[in-house]
Amino acid sequence: MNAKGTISSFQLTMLMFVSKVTVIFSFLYNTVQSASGYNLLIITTGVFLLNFLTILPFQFLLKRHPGKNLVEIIRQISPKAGTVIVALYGLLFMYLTTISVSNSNYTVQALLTEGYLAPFFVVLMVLAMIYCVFKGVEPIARLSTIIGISAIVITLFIFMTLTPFFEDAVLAPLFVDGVAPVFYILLGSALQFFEFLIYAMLAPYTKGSKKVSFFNFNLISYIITSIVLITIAVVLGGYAETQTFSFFTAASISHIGIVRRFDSLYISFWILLAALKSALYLFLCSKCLQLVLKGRYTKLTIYLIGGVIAALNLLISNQLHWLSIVQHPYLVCSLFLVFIILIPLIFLVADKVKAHKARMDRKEVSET
Amino acid sequence: MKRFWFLPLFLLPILLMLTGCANDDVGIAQRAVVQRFGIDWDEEKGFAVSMYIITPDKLSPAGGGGGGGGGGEESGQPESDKPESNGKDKLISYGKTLYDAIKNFENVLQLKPYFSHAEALVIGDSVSKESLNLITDIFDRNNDFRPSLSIFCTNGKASDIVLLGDDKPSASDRAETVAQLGNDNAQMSSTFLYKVIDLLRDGAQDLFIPVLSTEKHGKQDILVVNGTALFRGDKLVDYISPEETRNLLFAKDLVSHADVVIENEELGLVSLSTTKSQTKITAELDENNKLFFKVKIDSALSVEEIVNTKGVVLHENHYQGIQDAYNKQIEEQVSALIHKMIFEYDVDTIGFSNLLWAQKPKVWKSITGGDVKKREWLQEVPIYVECHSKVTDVGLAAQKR
Repeated sequence: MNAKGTISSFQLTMLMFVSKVTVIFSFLYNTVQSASGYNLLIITTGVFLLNFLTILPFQFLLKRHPGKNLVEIIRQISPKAGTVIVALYGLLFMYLTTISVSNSNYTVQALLTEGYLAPFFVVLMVLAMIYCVFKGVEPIARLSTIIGISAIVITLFIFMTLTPFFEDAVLAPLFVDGVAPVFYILLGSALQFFEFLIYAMLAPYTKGSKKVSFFNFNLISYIITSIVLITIAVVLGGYAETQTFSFFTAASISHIGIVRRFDSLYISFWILLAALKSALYLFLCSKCLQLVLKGRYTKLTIYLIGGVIAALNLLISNQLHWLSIVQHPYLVCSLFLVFIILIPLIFLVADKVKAHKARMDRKEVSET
Repeated sequence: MKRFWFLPLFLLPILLMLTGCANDDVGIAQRAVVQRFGIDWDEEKGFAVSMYIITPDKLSPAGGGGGGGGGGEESGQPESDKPESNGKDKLISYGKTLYDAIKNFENVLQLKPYFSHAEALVIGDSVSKESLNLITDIFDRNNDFRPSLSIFCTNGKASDIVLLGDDKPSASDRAETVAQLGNDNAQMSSTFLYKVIDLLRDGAQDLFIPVLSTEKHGKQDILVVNGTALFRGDKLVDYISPEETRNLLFAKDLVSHADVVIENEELGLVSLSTTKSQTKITAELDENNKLFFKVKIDSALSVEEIVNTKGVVLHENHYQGIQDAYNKQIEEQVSALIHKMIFEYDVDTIGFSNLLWAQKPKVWKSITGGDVKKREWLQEVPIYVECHSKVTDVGLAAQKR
């Protein structure tokens, strides 16, 4: 076991995967026919490759400042503007936590219970998240490893039980409606990997190779996403378009002999995954707040943030309309572009300029 | 122990999800567990939902109370066919919509139907002739109905099938048992709810649904699989016989086991069991760039019985003759069925359009202009059926070498 506050390379992989798998299990890429069938493999492979490119700004920043996480680096490069940016990252993490809790709340209501449990569920989930934040990243990582591996096993299990349904499948040929729909979905999917933030925030606290950790995460996500998408496309076909939770529907069809309905397996782990994901993002939000508020940051701050998240959830999670607005693909992709590509790139350039200036100053001093 | 004080916070949300029948404040005593249900259309009363239900409350040795029975003849009122004392009831409920009919059932009987355990849905011909789209929406919106629900049609009233007989001792699964036997004998293929909705929405391929009907055996009516209902889009076109169904399943690559009797000059009648079969359909272009389909069936055969008066014993030399006769029979019958479906019914149940789209998308687009519902072009495309079989098992009887 690692010392408190540090995690292993594999745990970092699993933390990122746990965050990703909740998305894979629920709201997936558009399953329109022109981008389904064999095109799905093009999309997942494209996303897998593109991820190595989009992580580069973070990678370069982390390399230039070993031992520091993203927000610490930003603050170091520009203490004044950096504080504002770190606060924005804190808000982003709060947004991601809210979305995660809302999705799980909506899922629970849609698939398991009806309305009246919602406030109770949200409050309990937020309290559990706060507890996780107080315990620190290492316990979250340990639980993520167990749950993440279980999620992989469950996906493979459901896939195996659904293989008898693969017989009469007719898959859409490659680029059946041209390259454009495939390209747009590929791009839209690649711009939703907020797990890069987990990498940028936790990499300095990770023992072992961070690059291997990222590669493993990318590879596991690629394989699991491909399996889930192909299963949905082959088994459900066009029916998937009518289902909000298509993998859940596919799981409800699966059976082995007289043992049926493995959707219960799916849903129980999905809730755990969503709770862990929310706790992790709240933890990352707390890291940003610590940096911004400094001495004013107390446990009460987290309770307050938790309260805000719970209140927001009660407002939006009962209404699909609001839920789809707050996670509209354009909004999500824009946030990704700003926080994962643009800001790191700006600070990377600023850092290089600053370092260059410092070098020149040193040179001048040494010459004089 | 102090550090675990927060543990209940993790456990409580999980426990809340295990509340089962406590959801919606509906206790198990107020539940009517639907085993199978049927949908008919009545000109006067609207949708008629017939249900074969189990009331858990009545299953207790004490007999329990509440629920079941009652109702009247008026529209909107469930009518009951003598509630049985063993907790199994048969009821029909009417309503302007399916939801309305189910709600009427709830309101009058004070029981909430629970469809998650339903094994079969039977659709009466009054609905299938009108449109299947009339009934599918509710299944999309309500997760109480399982996507893997088996769908059947009947060439009469669905209620006659659903409310059949006195079902003792455990024949509540009768429809499923019949379906299983039908599957084993290549008389039908399981058709699930999600597949029906998928094909209805897609429109590129016409759907087929197994038909259940009743047959008199002595004093008792029994349930039998009686061919297949063919649809064009959402409407019933016609029914095909059980033998034609077998040929349809050969063409659709859905045969897991099929019995065929052939006639051989030397051996007489030979009963063959198709132990394995695989069908591959390919869209190809000839030397003149003209499209044609090739349906290739590969079967493994087991010789089950030879009937002749001459006492001829099976010899390895007979294999070719058996295989040739089998191939010829399957080729002729499958070709005839495909021809009938395309020319007589104007349906694409095999899914040629879909296959062409998947295998040669450009050709498909040039022929159909991108209209997935176009069927006429199929009448101009030659379809060749080829069957290749191999005797792989001859049973225990000794044979000449």
